[in-house]
Amino acid sequence: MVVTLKIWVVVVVAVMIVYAIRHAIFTISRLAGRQRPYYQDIIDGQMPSLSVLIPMHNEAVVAASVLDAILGSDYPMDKVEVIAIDDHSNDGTAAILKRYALSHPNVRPLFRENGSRGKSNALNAGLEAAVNEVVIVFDADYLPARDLLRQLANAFVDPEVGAVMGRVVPFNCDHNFLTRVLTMERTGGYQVDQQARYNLDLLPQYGGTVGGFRREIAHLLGGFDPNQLAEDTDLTFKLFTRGWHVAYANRAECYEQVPETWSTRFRQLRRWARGHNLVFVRHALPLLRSEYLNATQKLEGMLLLLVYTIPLLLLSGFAACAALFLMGAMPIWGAVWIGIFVVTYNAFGNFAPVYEIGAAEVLDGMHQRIYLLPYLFFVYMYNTWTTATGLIDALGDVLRRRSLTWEKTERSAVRP
Amino acid sequence: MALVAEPAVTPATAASSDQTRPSIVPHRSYRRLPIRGFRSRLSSTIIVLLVELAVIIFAAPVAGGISRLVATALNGSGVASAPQGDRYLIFNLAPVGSPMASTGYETLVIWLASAVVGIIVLALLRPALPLRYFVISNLTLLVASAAYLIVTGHPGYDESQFSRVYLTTAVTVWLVLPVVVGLVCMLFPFSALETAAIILIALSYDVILCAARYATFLWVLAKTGPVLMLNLYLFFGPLLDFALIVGLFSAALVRLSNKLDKHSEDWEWL
Repeated sequence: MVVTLKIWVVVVVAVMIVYAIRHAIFTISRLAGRQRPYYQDIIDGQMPSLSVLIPMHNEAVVAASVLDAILGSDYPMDKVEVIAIDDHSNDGTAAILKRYALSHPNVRPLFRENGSRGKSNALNAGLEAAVNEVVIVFDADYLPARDLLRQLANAFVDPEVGAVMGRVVPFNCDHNFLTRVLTMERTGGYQVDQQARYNLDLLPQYGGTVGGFRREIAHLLGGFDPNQLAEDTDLTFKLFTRGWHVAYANRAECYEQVPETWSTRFRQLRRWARGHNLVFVRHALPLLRSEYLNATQKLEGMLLLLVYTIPLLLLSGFAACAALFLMGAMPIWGAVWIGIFVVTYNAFGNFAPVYEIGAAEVLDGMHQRIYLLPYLFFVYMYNTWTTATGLIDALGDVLRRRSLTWEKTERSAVRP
Repeated sequence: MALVAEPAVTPATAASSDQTRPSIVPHRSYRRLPIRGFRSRLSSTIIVLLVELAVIIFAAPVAGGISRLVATALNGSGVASAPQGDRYLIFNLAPVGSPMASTGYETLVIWLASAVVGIIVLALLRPALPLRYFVISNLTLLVASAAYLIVTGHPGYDESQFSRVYLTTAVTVWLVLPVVVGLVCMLFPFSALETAAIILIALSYDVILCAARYATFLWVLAKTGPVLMLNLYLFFGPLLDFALIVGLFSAALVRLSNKLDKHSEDWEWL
C-alpha cells in the first residue's frame, strides 16, 4: 500500500513536470520567440464568401447586439449571409430575428422548433442552409469588432487551412473577482497558449466561436456530432488527424461576456470538462495513428486531450500524500513538488501555470491583474471538484451510451 | 462599462511595403520581448547557483536558530520544549521536541462528528463555491484524520516525528525555492540583480514564516493533540509558502510590466 502510494506520487510529479515544461516552452515561444505571422498582410486578395452562423437559444437579451455588430462589419456585405439559428427559444428571440430579416436582406433566420435542442444540432441545421465557401461561427453573447470577419477570412486564402480561430476577450472583466480571474484565464489561453501552439506548428484549437471553417470540409466530416458537447475540440482533432491545419489569429479579437456567478461558471466548466473528456475517448487513438502528424504534434495532442484530467490527477497526488502522512510514511520531496504544482496550476480553463498567465498579462499591458495570480490557489478545490464532476459525467456517458443535452450559459443583460 | 483597454503601444517598424502599412497597426498581439542574451542568462544562472550554495551552507545554522527561538517561545507559553539532534541529507538539524496532548476515543468521536456536521451545514448554507470547497476539503481531511486515529489508535507521526517532518520539509522548500523561483524569473527579462532580489526576499520571507508557523503548530498540537496534524501540515504548512511566494513574484512582475510599458523601445514588433 505504502509503496503503491509512493509510486503514484512519483507518477503525478513526473506528469506535472512534463506539463510544466510544456507551458514553459509556450511562454518562452510567445514572450521572446519568433512569432509565426498570421495572414494579416492580405488586404486586397479575393476574399471568400461567408456564412455567419449564430446559434441562439433564448438569446433575446443579446441577439440584437451581435446582429448589429456583424451587420456593421467592414467586410463586403454582398459576400456575407447571416444565419441566425433560433433553437427552440421561447423568450422573444424569434421576433427579433424576424424583425432583422425584414430590414436586412442578408439576415436569414432559421427557426428550429422540432428535433433535439443543442449547439451541434443548431450548427448542423445552419450548415444545411449555408451556401457560402466559409462558415464563421459566433455565440450570441459575442461582440465582433468591425474588422473581425476580414481578419478571420484572410486565413482561408491558404488552401491547407481548414479552420481558423480568433482571440476571445471578456468585456465584463471588471464585474467581480470571478470575471477578473476568468479574464486572466482567457488572456493566458489565447495570448500565450494558442499563439505559442501556432508559432511552434503544434495544435492550436478551433474554439467553437470567433472562428470558422470551410463549409465543404464540415460536410465531408459529416457535420457536428450531437453527442459531442465540445463540438469545437472534436472538429479540431478531426481536422488535424486528416491533414488540415488550424490557423490562429491573435489580432482578431472578439468580446464576450464571461460568467459572473460561481454556479454559472460551475455548469460551464463542468460541461467543458465533460465534452473535452468525451473528445479524448473519441480521438486519442486516431491522433496517435494519424499519418499527418509528427511525434511532437502527437505528444502535444495527447497533452491537450488530457488537460481536463490535470486537477483530478493533482488531487490524487495530494490525497496520496495525505494518506502517507497519516501512515507516517510521507515522501517529503514528493509532497513539496505536489505543493508547488497545486499552487502554480490553477488557472481555470486551460490549467496554465502562473508564469504563463503572468506573461500573457505583461504582453497585454494589464499590470494590475497580475496581483491576482496568488489567489488562483484558493480556487483549486473548486476547479478540481468541477472538472471531476465533468469527468464522471463523461465516464457515465461512455458507459451508458447516453445522449447529451446542451445546457447554455446564462447571460446578463448588461452590455458595454 | 468600458471595453478592455488597449495597452499603450508604439508605432510598428515592421510594415513591409507601402501597400500593407495602413492595414497593420500596432497592437498587443504583434509585440514580444527581445530574446535575452547569453551573458544575461549566464549571470542569472550564476546568481541562482550562488544562492543555492548559500542555502546549502546556511540552512543548518538557520534551522538551528529557528529551533532555539521556537523552543524559547514555547517554554515561555508554558509548553516545555527543547531542540533535539537530527540529521537530514547533509544537514544537522535540531527539531524541537515538545509534548502533544493525548486525545481519548470520545474526543476523537467529537472531532469526527463536528467535522461531518460542519460539512452538512456548509452544504445547506451554500456559501460561495470556492469558499465552500476550500472549507469542506479541510473538514474532509479532519474526518480522515479522526477516523484514522479512531481505527488505529495512534498517529502516523508522534510529536517528535512531526516536528522533524516539519523542519525537514522547510529545509527542502529552501533548497527547491531558489531553483524554482530562478527558473520562473529567467522566463522574463529580469536582470540578474532583480532575480537575486526576488529569490532572496522570497527566502527571507519563508524563513520568518517558517519560524512563526513552527511555534504555532507545536503549540496547537500541545493543546489539541494529533487530530489537527494533517490539516496543519497539508493546508497551512510549508506547502502554503508557494502561494505567498507567487504573490511576491506577481509584485515583481507588475513592476517589470510597468517598466516595459514606459520604455517602448524594449519591445520587438512582428
